[in-house]
Amino acid sequence: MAARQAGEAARGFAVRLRARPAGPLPDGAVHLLRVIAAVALSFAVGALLLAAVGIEPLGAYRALLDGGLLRADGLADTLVKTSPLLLAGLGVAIAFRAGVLNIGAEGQMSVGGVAAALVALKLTALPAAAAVVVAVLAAAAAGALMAGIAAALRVWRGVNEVVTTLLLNYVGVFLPAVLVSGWLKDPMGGGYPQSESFGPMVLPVVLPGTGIHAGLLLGLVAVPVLGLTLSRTRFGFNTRTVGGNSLAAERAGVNVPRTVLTAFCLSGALGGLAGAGEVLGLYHRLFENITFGYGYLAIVAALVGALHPVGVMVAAFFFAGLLTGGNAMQQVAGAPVEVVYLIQALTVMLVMADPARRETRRLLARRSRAADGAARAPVIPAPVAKGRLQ
Amino acid sequence: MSGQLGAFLVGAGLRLGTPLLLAALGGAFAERAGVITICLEAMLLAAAFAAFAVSVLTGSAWLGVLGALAAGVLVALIHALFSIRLRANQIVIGVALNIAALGATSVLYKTLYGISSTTRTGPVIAPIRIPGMSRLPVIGDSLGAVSPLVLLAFALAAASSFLLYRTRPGLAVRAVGEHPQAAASAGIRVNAVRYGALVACGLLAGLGGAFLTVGQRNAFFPGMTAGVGYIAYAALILGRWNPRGIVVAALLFGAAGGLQLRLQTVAPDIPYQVFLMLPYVVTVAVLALFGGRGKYPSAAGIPYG
Repeated sequence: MAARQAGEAARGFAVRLRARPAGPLPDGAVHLLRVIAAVALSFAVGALLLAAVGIEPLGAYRALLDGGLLRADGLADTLVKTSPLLLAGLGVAIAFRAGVLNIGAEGQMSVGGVAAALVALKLTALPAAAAVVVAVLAAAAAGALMAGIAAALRVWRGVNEVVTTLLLNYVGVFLPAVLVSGWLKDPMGGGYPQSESFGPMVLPVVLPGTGIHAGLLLGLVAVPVLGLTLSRTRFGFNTRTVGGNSLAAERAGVNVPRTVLTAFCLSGALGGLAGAGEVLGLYHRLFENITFGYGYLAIVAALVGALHPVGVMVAAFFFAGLLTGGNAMQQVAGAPVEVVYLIQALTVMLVMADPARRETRRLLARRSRAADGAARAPVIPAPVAKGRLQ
Repeated sequence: MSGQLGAFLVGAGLRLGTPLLLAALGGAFAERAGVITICLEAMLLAAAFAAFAVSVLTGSAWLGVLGALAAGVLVALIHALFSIRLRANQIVIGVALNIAALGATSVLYKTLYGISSTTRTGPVIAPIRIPGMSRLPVIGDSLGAVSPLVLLAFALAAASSFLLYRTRPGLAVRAVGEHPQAAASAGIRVNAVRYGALVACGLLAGLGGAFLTVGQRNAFFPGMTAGVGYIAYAALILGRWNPRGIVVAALLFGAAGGLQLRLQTVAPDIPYQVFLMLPYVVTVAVLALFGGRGKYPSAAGIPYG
C-alpha cells in the first residue's frame, strides 16, 4: 500500500527534479515558487487562527521574525536548531528518494541520543575526543538499527513501513525516559529525571559565545557528501532508480532489496546522528525528552526541500527559524508556539499539492507502460525480496 | 484471579479499543474507496477537542458528540481536498494533517482554557446498564455498565460490514478503490464516491474522538491522543480493511493497552514508560507476524481524473 504510494511519491519527486519541465520554467524554480506561495498562504491561515483567538497577528509575526532571525541571539538559536533538523532531514530525504517513507526519524533520533549518552557516560576510560567519536558512531548505528527493523519488515514481510516507523517512534521516544528514571539517573540531580553531565565528552562549540556546536558542521558536511553520493556513486544511482521505478531498476540489474535496506538504514543513521548532536553538543546530558517533534519536522523539511540535500538545508534553516521565532512570539506576544506547527504543516501540504496534474499524468503513463508485457505486479507491498518495490 | 484479569482485559479491550474500532472503521471506508488515511490521528484529536469544548460550552455531552462529528468531517474534507482535488501525496498529507491538528487544538485549548492548576472537565455521557449482563461469569463486571458509544460502535461495525459487502453503495466504494476506470465506465462518479467515503470516515473517527473525552473522563490536554490514531491505522491493516477483522484487531490492541496499565501497578519499580511502549511493540510484533499484505485496494493512493 504505502509501497505503491511510496513508489509513486518518490517517482514524483525524482521526476520533478530531473525530468524535462512541462512549462517554460525549470523544475527547481517552479518548486521554489511553490514553496514561497505555500509559506505565504500558511502564514495567512495562521494569522486567521490567531485573530480568531484574540491575538493580533502582525505583532505576533513581527515578534516571530525578530526572535528567529533578526536578533543575533535568535539567529544563533536558529542555527543550533538547524543542526538536528538538517541531519534528520537529510536522512528522510535519502529514504524517500529510494521510495521508502521513513517516518521514524523521531524515534531514530531518540535512540541515537541514548546510544551517544551511554558511550559518554560509561566509556570513561577513553580519552574525551575518542569517546566522542565512538559516541557519534554508536548513535549512527543505533539509528540504523532502529530503521533496520522497519526496513526488514518491509522487505521481507511486506509490512507498510509508514506504520512500523510511526509505531517504533513511540518506542524510541520513551527509551530515554526509561533510562533516566532509573539506571542513568543522576544521584545529584535532586530527583529530577536526567543523567549525569557528560563532562568533557561533548561536541565542541564552533562559535564561541553561542551554543552552535560541531553537530551543525557535521550536517553541513553531510550536504555535499550526500549530494555527491546520490549523483556520482553506484549506490546513489541505484537509490534514485529504485525510487523512480523499481521494476525498471530490477530489470537493469539493481539489487532492489539491498538498495532499499541500505538506504533505509542510512536514513536511520542520519537520524541517530541528529540525536547525538543534540545530546553531545547541546544538552551535555540525557533527559526524558530530547527530540521535541524534530523528527516529524525533518520530514516536512525534506519534502519542502524537494528531497535535494541543498534544498533540505535551506528548509531546515527556515523551519528552525520558525521554531525559535515561535518561542519568542509566545513570550512577547502571548501567542501559543503551536501556531508554528500549523504553519509548518500547512506549508508542506500546500507544497505537495499538484492541481496541474503534471505528476499524475506522468505516473499513469509510466504505470501503463510498465504493465505492458510485465507480469502482474503484486497488489500490495509484496516483500521487496521478490524484486519489486511496488 | 485469572477471572479478574479476564474481566479487566475485556473491559480494557472495550474501553481502549472502541476509539480504535471507530477510527479504523472510518479508515476502512476511505481506503476501500482508494484514499489513504494516515490522518486518523488528526480526526481523533480534533474530534476529542471539539467534544470537550462544545460539551463544556453547552453543558451537554451529546452536543459535544455532535461537535466531534463535525470536527471529524472537517478534517476529512480537508484531507479530501488535498488528496482528491489537489492530488497531493496522501500519506504526506495525512502526516501533515496530524501535525496541523496537534497545532490547532493546542493553540485553541491553550488560549480558550489556559494553563491552570486545575484541569477543566466537562459532562460525560452516562453509562447505561444492560439488564442481566452483570450476572455473566467472567465478563459481567465489565459489561454491566457500558457507555452507549461502545454499543454504538459495535452496531456501526456490523452495519459497516453489511453496507460494504451487501449494498450497492458499498459495491461502488469497493469498485472505485479497485479499478476506478472500470467503475467510471459503469457510470459511477468516482470522486464523488471518494468524497462520500471520506465523510463517512470523518463521522466514524469523529465518534471515536468523542469517546475519548465525553465518553470517559471529559478532560482534554494538548496531544492527548498520543499516537492512538496510528494504532487504529495498524488495526485497519491487521483487520485487512474488513469490518469484522477490524473489530478483532481493535479489541486486541485495546486489551494490550489495558495490560500495560495493569502491569504498571503490578511492578511499580519499573519505570512506567516501559509499559507505555508495550502497545506499540505489540502492534509491530503482530504486524510482523501476520505480514502486511492482503486485500489492499489496488487503486489506493492514486488520484483519479
